[in-house]
Amino acid sequence: MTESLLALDNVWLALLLKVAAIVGFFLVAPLVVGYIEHKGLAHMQARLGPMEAAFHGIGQLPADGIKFIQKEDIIPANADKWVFSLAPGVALVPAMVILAVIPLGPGLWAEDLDTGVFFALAVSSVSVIGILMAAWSSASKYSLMGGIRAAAQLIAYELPLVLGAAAVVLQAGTMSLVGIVEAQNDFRILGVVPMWFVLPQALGFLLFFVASLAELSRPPFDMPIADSELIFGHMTEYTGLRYAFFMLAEYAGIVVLSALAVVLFLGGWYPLPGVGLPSFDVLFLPGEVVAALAGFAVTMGKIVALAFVMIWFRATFPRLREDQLQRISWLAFIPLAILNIVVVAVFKVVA
Amino acid sequence: MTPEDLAEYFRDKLGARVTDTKVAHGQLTVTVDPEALPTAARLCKEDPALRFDFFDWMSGVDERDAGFGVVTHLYSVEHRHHVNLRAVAPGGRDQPRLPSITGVYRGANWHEREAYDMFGVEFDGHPGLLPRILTVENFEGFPLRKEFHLSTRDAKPWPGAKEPEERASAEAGQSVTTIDTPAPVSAEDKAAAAKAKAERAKAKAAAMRAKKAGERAAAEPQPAGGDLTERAAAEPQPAGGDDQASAAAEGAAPAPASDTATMDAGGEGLDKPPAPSDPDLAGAGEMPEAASATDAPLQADEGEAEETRSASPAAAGEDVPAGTPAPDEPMGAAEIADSDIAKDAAAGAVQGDVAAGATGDQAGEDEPVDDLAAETASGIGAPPSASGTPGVEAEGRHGGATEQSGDRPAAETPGMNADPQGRAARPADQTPAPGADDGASATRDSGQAVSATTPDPAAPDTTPGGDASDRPVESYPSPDAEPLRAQELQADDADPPVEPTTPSGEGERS
Amino acid sequence: MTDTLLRPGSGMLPGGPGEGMLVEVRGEGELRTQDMNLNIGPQHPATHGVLRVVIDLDGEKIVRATPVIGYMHRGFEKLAEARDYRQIIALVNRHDWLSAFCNELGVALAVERMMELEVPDRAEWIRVLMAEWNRVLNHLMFVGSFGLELGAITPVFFAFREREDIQGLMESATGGRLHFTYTRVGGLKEDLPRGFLAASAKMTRNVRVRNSEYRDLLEGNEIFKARTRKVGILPPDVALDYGVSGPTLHATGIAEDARVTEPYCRYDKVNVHVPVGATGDSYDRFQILLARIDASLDIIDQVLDNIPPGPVNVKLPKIVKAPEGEIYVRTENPLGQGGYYLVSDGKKNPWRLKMRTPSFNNISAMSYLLKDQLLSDMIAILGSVFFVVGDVDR
Repeated sequence: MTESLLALDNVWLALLLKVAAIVGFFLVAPLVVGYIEHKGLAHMQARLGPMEAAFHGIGQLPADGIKFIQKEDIIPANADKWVFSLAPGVALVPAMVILAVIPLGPGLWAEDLDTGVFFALAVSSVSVIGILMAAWSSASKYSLMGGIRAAAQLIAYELPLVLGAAAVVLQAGTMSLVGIVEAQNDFRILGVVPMWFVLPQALGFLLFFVASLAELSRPPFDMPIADSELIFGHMTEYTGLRYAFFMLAEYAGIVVLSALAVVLFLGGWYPLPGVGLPSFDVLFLPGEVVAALAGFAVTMGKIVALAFVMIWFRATFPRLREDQLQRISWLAFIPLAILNIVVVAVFKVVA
Repeated sequence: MTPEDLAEYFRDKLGARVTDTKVAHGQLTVTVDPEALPTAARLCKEDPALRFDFFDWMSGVDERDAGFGVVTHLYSVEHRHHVNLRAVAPGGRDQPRLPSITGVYRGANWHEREAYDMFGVEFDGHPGLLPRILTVENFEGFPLRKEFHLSTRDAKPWPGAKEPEERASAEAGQSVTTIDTPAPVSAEDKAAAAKAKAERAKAKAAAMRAKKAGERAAAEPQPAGGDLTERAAAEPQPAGGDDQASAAAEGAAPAPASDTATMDAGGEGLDKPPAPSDPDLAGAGEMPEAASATDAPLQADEGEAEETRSASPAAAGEDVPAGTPAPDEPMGAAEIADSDIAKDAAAGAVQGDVAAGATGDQAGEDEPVDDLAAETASGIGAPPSASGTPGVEAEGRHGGATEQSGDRPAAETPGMNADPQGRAARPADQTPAPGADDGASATRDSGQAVSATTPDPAAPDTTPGGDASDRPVESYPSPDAEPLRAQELQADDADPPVEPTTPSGEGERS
Repeated sequence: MTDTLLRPGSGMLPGGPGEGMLVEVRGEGELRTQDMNLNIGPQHPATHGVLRVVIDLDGEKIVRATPVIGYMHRGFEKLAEARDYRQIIALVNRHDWLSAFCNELGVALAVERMMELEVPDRAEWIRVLMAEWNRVLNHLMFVGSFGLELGAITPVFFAFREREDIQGLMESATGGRLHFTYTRVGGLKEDLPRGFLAASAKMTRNVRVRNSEYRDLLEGNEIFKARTRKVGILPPDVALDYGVSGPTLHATGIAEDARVTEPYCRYDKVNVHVPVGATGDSYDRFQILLARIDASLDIIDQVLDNIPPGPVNVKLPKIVKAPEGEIYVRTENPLGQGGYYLVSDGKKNPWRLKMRTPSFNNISAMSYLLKDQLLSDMIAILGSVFFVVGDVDR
């Protein structure tokens, strides 16, 4: 378990800083991804997207956030008030918690757990409960239908997600996320060519990426919130800040799962396979800090690239019917994921 | 097969059950006995020479005394021939029934439901004619029956070009625009009001004539009319689709006498160039009786409003017999058509005394032809300002001929204000008030005017001031209308609002 | 259970006790399940307007579906009885508002045929031109919206981009982007503006190019195919029984098209290609839509080659009166076969004007189409049976 950059002597101060950093990242990164979605989608659709709020619309999402905060708090009369109120939180908080273990750069993590992957995947499953809570407590048939679809879908796609990550764990030999990044840096194909795990485990990467789309209910897997059918699925009855939390949860989920994919398959904070980060002193910044900043930039770049691909998929594909996506998951993805593990295991033993 | 061959074929196959075949414009209409309709339909569908497999449509046709006919149009994709299969529903106009052909053509299901909804024809053997397919489920009445009154034509008379006989009756000085719900006014009151109005009108006419002489194009001098009332009463105009109007009008015969005079008087008071609203007026001629009956109070209103706002009331009490307009005034159609209200109606604006003066002054700029003659020269139909969509449409209501308008609950026609004060308070008047629902504002202002002239208990005695003539045309009623509206609301409290927008909502809209 | 849906108080009607759970016991000894009763619409993003579909769901499967219409009933037929023919033309624009000209055309044709009026050649050719542009407009809209309902959010923007261009073209000629009121009895309101024909020619080229983009984006998309293949199959005999027409009927394999079987205007002088489908499923209906756009562009090109000079309207009497009698005129509107049954008593307004609208018949087949489908397929089916609610309710 390596030390984070923020591991100061004063435990409480370190804790405070870590929490602040996580919350800060958690609040800002989804806005970046959200902005990319607005503008990217727009340009793909032959239109401009937000242009009015600040410069070319970068103020759009903060403005939306402020707008949501000042909205009336409406709870449907028949709704189960407590469950209804807590559901967005239950959907949102796991995303924040996962950020505690994800390394965004050399030394940039809150806590490097030995069971990092396990922890991340387990916590990400908790948000499913939030969706179910929202669906049930909304006292609306549309929400209920959306929730049931969501539950089925999320359960179905947990497995390809986990199995894809398991193959990486197998190859890296450690469940610690930092360890996995380092393992990718050390990995050599045929002992010569440095490569991240994305190439030898291309299938796993694909499965992980598609499964994370389904976990996030992003098109083409957005049947649970298919807005042309169920208005907005489990979020139909939500307004105001609670709705904003759900939206934040969605974008935060994009960030988190992209970050996981980056860490597991795309080499983390390393710019290129086999290339390290600059760690010399620049001006007044010590080398570590420079490396950390550079690493952070690299990681964010990769996260944004993956998020862009997710947005691209949204613009392009119609949505799959839920029986079709169930079929794909159980009949195609899971066998492939198992196959992937077998192949990786064979190679690990042989090579 | 050609239509004639088809006719032959039908007669061969169905024999005596075919009561009539007719070929017109290359299309065949086969009339069969009502009981034989399913047999005929089955023959059409299954006979290899006919093979009418495409169920095109089915529709009712109101055939007056003969009852309701139902026409089913079938087409054969294979043979490319059509047929209109027609049957007249027995049971007359009260209980029209026909056997259903949904067993033969599945598509007939919805069409029969529509025929029931629109005409009241019941189909035996239909899986379920209710709930009503197009109208609201609790709708009362059958809209496409001819006695179902489309009150829009009371609200805004025919704006298009007129037939010669219609023009004549229009010249007889029939009502122009009756948007407001007339308050319950007794004939005596109307006569008195008419007298007063006539006097004031005369006074005003003299003043206005000189001023407006130049603006008047070759107004067709309408024969002044002591005989107006006779003509009005004597010419029942079965306007297309508004038979109920004439039926109802007969019940209100006494009213027109004073009314027309009133209106003429009022109209003559406004020497404005004749009409772009000529069509309005001419259209009004279409339903003289109904219009006049219902317009009676309104005419009083209009005249009143115009009088009061354009001139200080002249000395009342001049003894002008009802029905005698000022003798040497070419009055009637042209003037009335020129009235502000008429012009506003033409332009689709909301009625009311807010429309003083302005339209008249601007007449001629964007409003084309000045008179019927010019209209003829210009070609088809009415000038644009007077034509086109006739403004706000009042929805249809029950036929007034068959029931008292006052009996009908307001709730039947959702979304529309039931007659605010008119109908419920006028049990004696058999004519349903004209579209009272056209913009509450109309009711407001005219009701106001009514109150000014007649002892209408429902309306407060508010009179728009004389400065109303200077006010530009507005789309909204005057603020003075509010009190009346409140009164109407009280009257409406008994009526359950059908839709969330209660009458109060409608009333406070502006 | 059979009549529950139609009885007042069963929860299907406004003012009734509201939606309820209809209980159905499926046999003795089996697990008791409840069918959920779901109300799609009348306000719903997927129902193209105020169409309401009441469905009984067993899980995700639709046991029974009942479309409820009439939310947009405006009483056109009654209004038409109080209007003269020119006003009626302005009125019937509002049925199928995506292709308003085609509605107008039927009325004008009906009156002209009854009056036995000779319409100038040029006017007829221009009518064909306008009708075909309207067809393109209409189909583009459905291309976009069908994808949108299935989740493809991009093609709708592209389709509307094309629509904007074409609407600009229509506006230059008629003054309106949506409701044109361009036809008159006996011809047209006025002639085309200068440059219209050249602009038309250019526009056909553009739309053709873009049409191929839609093919790639939607028709070739695997997910789209998976969502629409074998979904909502309508057999041809059922379609004819319900009076279904237009692309929905052509998809079943029957090539009944009024432009071909009973040509009106100058359709007999142009080559009209009627694309026909094989299976009658939603994918076929969509494919036919794209093919029809191409076919309409072809017709427009032919018209542009053939328009003669000349007058575009005739001098009519001041009051247009149709002689006594009745007539039924049908035209091929973009959504199907539209027609007008005109009963005239010799006056200037009709005694009865029955408006046969294609969407009314198409939607009447909906309960057949939706039976035993999945809920998600319902969206695919609703989107593929092209209809406009104004057309359904009049």
